[in-house]
Amino acid sequence: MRWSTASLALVLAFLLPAAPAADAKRGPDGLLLVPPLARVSDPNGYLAPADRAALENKLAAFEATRGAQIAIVLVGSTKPEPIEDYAHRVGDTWKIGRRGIGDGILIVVAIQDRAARIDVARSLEGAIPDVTAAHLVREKMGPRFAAKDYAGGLTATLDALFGLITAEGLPPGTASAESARGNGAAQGEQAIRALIPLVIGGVVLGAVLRRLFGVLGALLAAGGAVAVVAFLLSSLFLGVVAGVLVFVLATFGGPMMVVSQVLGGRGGGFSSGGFGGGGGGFSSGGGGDFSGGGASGNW
Amino acid sequence: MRMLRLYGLMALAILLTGCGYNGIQTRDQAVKSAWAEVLSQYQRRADLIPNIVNSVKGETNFEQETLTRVIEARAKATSIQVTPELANDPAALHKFQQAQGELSSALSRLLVVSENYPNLKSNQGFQDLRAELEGTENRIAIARNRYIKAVEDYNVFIKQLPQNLTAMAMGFKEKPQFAVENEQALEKPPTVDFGGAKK
Repeated sequence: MRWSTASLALVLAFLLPAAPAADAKRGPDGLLLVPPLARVSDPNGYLAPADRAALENKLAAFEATRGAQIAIVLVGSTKPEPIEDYAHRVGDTWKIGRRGIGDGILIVVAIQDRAARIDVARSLEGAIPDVTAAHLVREKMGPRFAAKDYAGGLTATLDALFGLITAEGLPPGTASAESARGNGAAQGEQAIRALIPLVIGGVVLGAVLRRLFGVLGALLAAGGAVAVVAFLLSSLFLGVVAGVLVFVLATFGGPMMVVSQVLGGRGGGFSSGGFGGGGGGFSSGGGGDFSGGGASGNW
Repeated sequence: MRMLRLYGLMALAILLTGCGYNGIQTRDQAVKSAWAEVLSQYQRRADLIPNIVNSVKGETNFEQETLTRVIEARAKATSIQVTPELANDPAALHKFQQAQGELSSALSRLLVVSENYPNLKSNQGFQDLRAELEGTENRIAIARNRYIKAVEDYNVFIKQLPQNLTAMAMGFKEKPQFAVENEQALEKPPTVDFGGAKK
């Protein structure tokens, strides 16, 4: 925890030597920059470290069980920009919410402006209509924020949001996954990503074998690919896919062209997401479409 | 002969994919769906207004002029026939945008004025309508921005080589853009004179 705050401060100091040390980053146009993806962004340290960790754990646990991604951003002031515009920029950049489901929620609090906003991605607009979001801001956040109990207000809001999202009956999360990062789509991508080097290796090997033994060699490579992929990813289906791919490519295609095609085809597909890996890491599902749903309020 | 025709078709297909035809189509569709989104958000706002007007009417001696302005602006905005062609006709688009802009400013004035009435401020129903209206305005702003971006993307694309030739041959024209200078006027908070309404 201590280490990550230190590294954040280091990054801050590195990026913006002129900015005041303890303020959120601003761009040359004077507007707040979109912070790096995190479940809880609090560059100014309004939350006590223990509270912050508790909120992060709460969010991670909810994502693991229900799949929906929720993030909290605390800043000093969004001025001269209205909080809605800032929240939209963050939401549009992060696109939190599972791919194909898009269940993301972004909570932005501007402490000095005494303003808060709940930004709801399109697919959750039914579960959390604007009026409900307005009530949460007014009733769960407002009174507690006025008493400077930011963690308490956020916790109460999250509890209410969890109830509303759970009632929506979206597909559950992947509680059994080893790390908290997983959602179904991202894991599928990971599997495909793992396939690429195997397919490339298989194609090269297959081309060599074909030189030596003809079509039999390509078949041999295909069989090998099936076995290896099925063993590594414990999925016979993906194994067979890889095998067929290797066989076809090794038999009919020039390996180099194929390699570039496979790589080119996948290019740009994995750009969504922030710091991944490691326990407690958070990567955006990239599915959330923030198109203005939600509500804001002052206290 | 038949083979020749087949080859011709194939050549045409290759030519069309190589000359940006598909790219134009993709962008054209993106513009259309962004436009549909803009329209549906404007519609959502128009549908909300009768409820708001009714709940404000309950407030005795509410500034009548503000209320009539909203009602008239809504009538004007909804009287414009919205056809898909509207988005391609600069004059019609301008008229449409102006009418919606007037409604925006009438509504925001209504909200500012309503702050002055304690009954309305404590009226849960009105506050909920207000939240919905604010959410809708926010959606409109985002839908408009996305439309502007989609049109920009389309317009830039069809002016580049070799797509410009394809666009000319296939009749894809530059699309008119939402005027941005109008938007700045809308975002300026309305000045309200409470002289007559103040109790």
